[in-house]
Amino acid sequence: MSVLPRPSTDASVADAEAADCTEAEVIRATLAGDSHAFSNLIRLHHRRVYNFLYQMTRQHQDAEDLAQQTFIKAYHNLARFEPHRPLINWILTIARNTALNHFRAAKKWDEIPHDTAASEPSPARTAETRDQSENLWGRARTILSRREFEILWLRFAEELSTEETARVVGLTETHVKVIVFRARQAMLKGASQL
Amino acid sequence: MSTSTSHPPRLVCRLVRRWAAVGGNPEARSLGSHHIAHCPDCARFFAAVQTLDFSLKRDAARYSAPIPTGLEERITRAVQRSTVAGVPSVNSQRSGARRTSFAFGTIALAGVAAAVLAVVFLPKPVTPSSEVAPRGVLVNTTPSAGVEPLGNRFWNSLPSSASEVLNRNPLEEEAAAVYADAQSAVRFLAMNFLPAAATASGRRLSDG
Repeated sequence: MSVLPRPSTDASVADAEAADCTEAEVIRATLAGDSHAFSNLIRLHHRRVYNFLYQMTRQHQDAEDLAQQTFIKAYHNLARFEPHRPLINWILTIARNTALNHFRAAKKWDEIPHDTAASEPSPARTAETRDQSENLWGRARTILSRREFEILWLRFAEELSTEETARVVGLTETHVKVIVFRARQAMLKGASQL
Repeated sequence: MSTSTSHPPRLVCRLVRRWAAVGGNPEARSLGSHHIAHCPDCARFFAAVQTLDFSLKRDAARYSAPIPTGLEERITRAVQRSTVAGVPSVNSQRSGARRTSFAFGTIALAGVAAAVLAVVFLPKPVTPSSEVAPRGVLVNTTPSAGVEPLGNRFWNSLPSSASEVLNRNPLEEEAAAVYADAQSAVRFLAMNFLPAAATASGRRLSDG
């Protein structure tokens, strides 16, 4: 089971292999009923899950609440985890679905618009853009739709493959590639207009 | 990072760029590679894409949200609380659900079977109270002294019109009704069209 990126040095490779063994052992221990073993998985992945949820919600408290719900669901559904997939990708899938359910319940968010660019930015958003103009992701948030931003984040910030990104968001690989292509075009076009 | 914006990209360039993004068959791939190698606009475009990808990865760390203090402990406590608060644990969740659904299914099946048996096999009582015996009755039972069988109670609860239909002769009733109508018609004709002597004899017919 591949969980952590494998660095080039021998010592780091050994550490990564140890981490792989540790995660597999932790999953086995958790399925055997050891709830304390799951805390090791939380230690490994809580930052990435929280960050991903914060990018979706832009609210610290919501991101933390949803992160808790995500790990609770992961703990109680660990038996359904497919060992050939990286565990973090499975957890990110749960996180995304948890966030979508939260938005639907709160009625704060319509369905993610399909491949549509953001409308005219509000004055608050314009100010945010000015502050973050040096950071591409700040610009991406104003230029791209929610879906485009989410997929771009999974591909380049979380560094998931196209296949894994498609599994997390529930789309086909081709669809993800098309969305990434359009997002890149929009970013390049926005950069040329600055 | 910017690409040339002095003129819009040609159609072949747009097609090649889209193909490169979503992939294509090997033959198209070779044609696209040949175009990219000889088109300055496409070469600039793909160079800009590479730079953009690198910048996105580089800036992701700076754009990430600061992790709140104590987040890991709070998440761990929340997971532990969920196992204590009666939420099914990992081991028992699936097997418990299976046991519960099996029990409910068995009880429901037993109830349906009991209802079918009660309807099919309960005996139907026969009460020969009319001159014409009902037809189609297969079972004849006599209640024991002081105790009314369950079957009798069930069949006695049927609407009374059903037993009445079984006991009378509809054909005989219909014939009697037709005869009565004919008598009335003859009487009417006799009273209105016949002489007085014939009318009196018609009255005697109706009396007889």
